[in-house]
Formats: sequence, structure tokens, C-alpha cells
Amino acid sequence: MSEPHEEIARRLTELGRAEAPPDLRGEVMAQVAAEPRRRQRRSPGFGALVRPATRIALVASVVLAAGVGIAHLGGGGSTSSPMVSTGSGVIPAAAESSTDKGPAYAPSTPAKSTTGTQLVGSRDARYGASSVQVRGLVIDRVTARSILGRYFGRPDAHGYIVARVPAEDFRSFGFRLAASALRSDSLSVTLDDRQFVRILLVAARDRRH
Amino acid sequence: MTQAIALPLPRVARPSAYDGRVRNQSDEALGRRAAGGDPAAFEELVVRYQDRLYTLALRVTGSDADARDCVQEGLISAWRAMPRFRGDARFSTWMYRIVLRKAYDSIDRRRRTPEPVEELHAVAAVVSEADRIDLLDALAALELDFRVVAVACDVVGMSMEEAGRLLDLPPGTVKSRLHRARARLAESLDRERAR
Repeated sequence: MSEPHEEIARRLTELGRAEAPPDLRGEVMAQVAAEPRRRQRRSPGFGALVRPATRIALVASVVLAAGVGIAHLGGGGSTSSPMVSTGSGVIPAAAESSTDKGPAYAPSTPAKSTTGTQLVGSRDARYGASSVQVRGLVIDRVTARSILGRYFGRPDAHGYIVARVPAEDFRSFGFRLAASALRSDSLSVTLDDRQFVRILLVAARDRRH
Repeated sequence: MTQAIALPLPRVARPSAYDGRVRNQSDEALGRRAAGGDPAAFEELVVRYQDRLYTLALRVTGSDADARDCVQEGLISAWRAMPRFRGDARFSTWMYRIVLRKAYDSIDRRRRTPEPVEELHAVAAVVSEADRIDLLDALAALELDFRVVAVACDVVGMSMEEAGRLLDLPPGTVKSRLHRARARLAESLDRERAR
């Protein structure tokens, strides 16, 4: 260190030091005393370890449930090849060969779309004696569309319903449904061999033949 | 006839927790006790370091009021953060660092809210009237990067390694900045002498 630098360092040490204000310590300790009493530091307990795991499990179950739901919604669309349309009056022959397949489901309430249309499968005066009670899990695509309208466009009359019918009811339900569809201008019914019934709602002027 | 005038002395209350039994303990031992919530141990640390912390804050900010606020807020922050002190640095360095951060915040706040023009004119008039720049004025006029190194090493008395840990700088950078800071201060003193 050169001489001028030494002098600078020495003078800084002499001149630069200062004493804290005498009441500083008292004020600090008064504030320390006013602080809420701290607990001793502890190792993380069992609860701290379980809590994140519970949160992860909850999120995973929600994601799984959403995935299953989306898979159900998409299931109707992927079963187009084996279907037999009854909108034009064709009796669903495939339905007869599939009555023993598929799981049975607990009875549910009659299907009803969010557009207010009472669907085939519920008791409706419009269809009289030909209407049937659908027992099984009903996945309502119209409802799905209204919920997911932001992504799929607004719900319209072209929505369709996918119903999963218990195996023991499938044959009789299929015949009755087909008969109802023959008398209806706004309904087209398709059945497949996996106990799925798709009920296509079609506006009268757009009726497909 | 003279009259005796009784002036009230400023009352400095000594907190009851401070009893001096912790005086002989090391900083690290006191830090551990303070981390466990012992105010007497923390007070001993305050007693040991308040002057050096105040010096650091005063020479970095250049303001008594700001320095006082920095030290007070810094010590309270240190008390709150005691349980998180990991002990991987020296306790003194950790406290210096807290107060230095407060000093930087204070300087930033001052930059955002400049002093009124009238006050600046008044200060300039006083300086030109006295017509002298002493060493501490020159120190206060240094750029912050150089000033803080000079304060840490030459005023507070830290080693270059300790200053490097405080400022997150390698010792070589501390050394070069300290050299340049002293050189600039020497130039200022030469100019003062030449007048």
C-alpha cells in the first residue's frame, strides 16, 4: 500500500467511526419485547409431510375424474363404425347380438337435455306408449356443449345424447327407441354393439335422411 | 446569586432481560440463544455491534436519520429472521448484510424522492462558503460501489475477504475497488491542499 493510500485508510478509520445514538438500543429492545413470542424451531412434523401429499392426491383425483369424464363424452363419437342408423327406419339388427355385453349400471333419473327437450327414454306424452324409461348412465352431450360452449360453440339443435343402457334392457329399449324415431321428425337414433345409444337431435328443417 | 437549574436527564431504560450473564459468550453462541427466542442474548449482540452497524449505515447513506432507521429496522429484521440464520456465515457478516441492504433501500428511496430545490441550494451555499472538502465529504461523494468497499474495509475495519462475503464480490474485485476508492479520495485531498 503506497503512502498516500495508507494515510487515507488511517484517516478514514479515525474520522469515519461513529457511535450509535444512545437510545437506539433501548428502542430496538422495546420493539423486540413487543414482538409476538416465537416458538422454538422444530423439525417438520408428520402433518407437514402429509399435507402436501394430500394436496397432490386431491389434484390427481380431480384430474383423473376429469379425464374419465372426457373419455365418456368422447366415447360416443368413437363408436361410429358399428352403428346402425334407425333414423331412416332401419331396425337395429346389431342390437340383438350385443345384449349380453357390458356392465350394468345403477338406475338413474330420466335423461333431460339443457335445451328443455324431453328425450326419448323418459316418459313423455309426445311419444306416448312407445317411450321407455332409460335405466343407466346417461351422458348428455347437449349439456356438455352448454358447459364447454366457450370451446365447442354454442349449443344447438344438432346436439346428441349418448346413453349407456344396461345389457338386460338394451334389446327391448333398442326396438322401442327405433319405433319412436320412425314417428319423430326431430329424432335420429343410432345403436351400437357396446350398449351405447346415441340420440341425435335434429332440427325439423335439417332432418337427415 | 446563582440558581441551580435541574435539567432532566434523558432516561435510557435498560431492558430487564439484559443482565450481563451473556457477555462472555461468543457471537455464535449468542446467535443460537437468540434464535431460540432469548432477548438477552440478542441484546448482547446489539451492544457489541450497534456502533459498527451504525457507522456502516451512516457512511453509506450519508445521513444520520437514515442510518438510525437502517440500523433499527435492520436489527428488528435480524431478530425476526434469527430462527432462519443457518450459521454458514459469520454472525457479524449476516447482520452487516441486513443493515447494508436497508441502507441500499434507503438510498433508492431518496433517489426516487429528490430533495426540494431550496434545500439543495442551501447546502451548496454552505459548502461554497466553507470552501473546503474534507475526507468524509469526499467519501460521501464517491460512487456507491467504491464507497461501500472503502467504508467496509477502512472505516468499519473488515478484511478484504470479509468485505467480499458481505458484498458478494471476489477478493480481487474488492482489492481493486478499494485501491481506486483510495486513489480518488487522495485526488480529492490533493485538490483540497492545492487551494
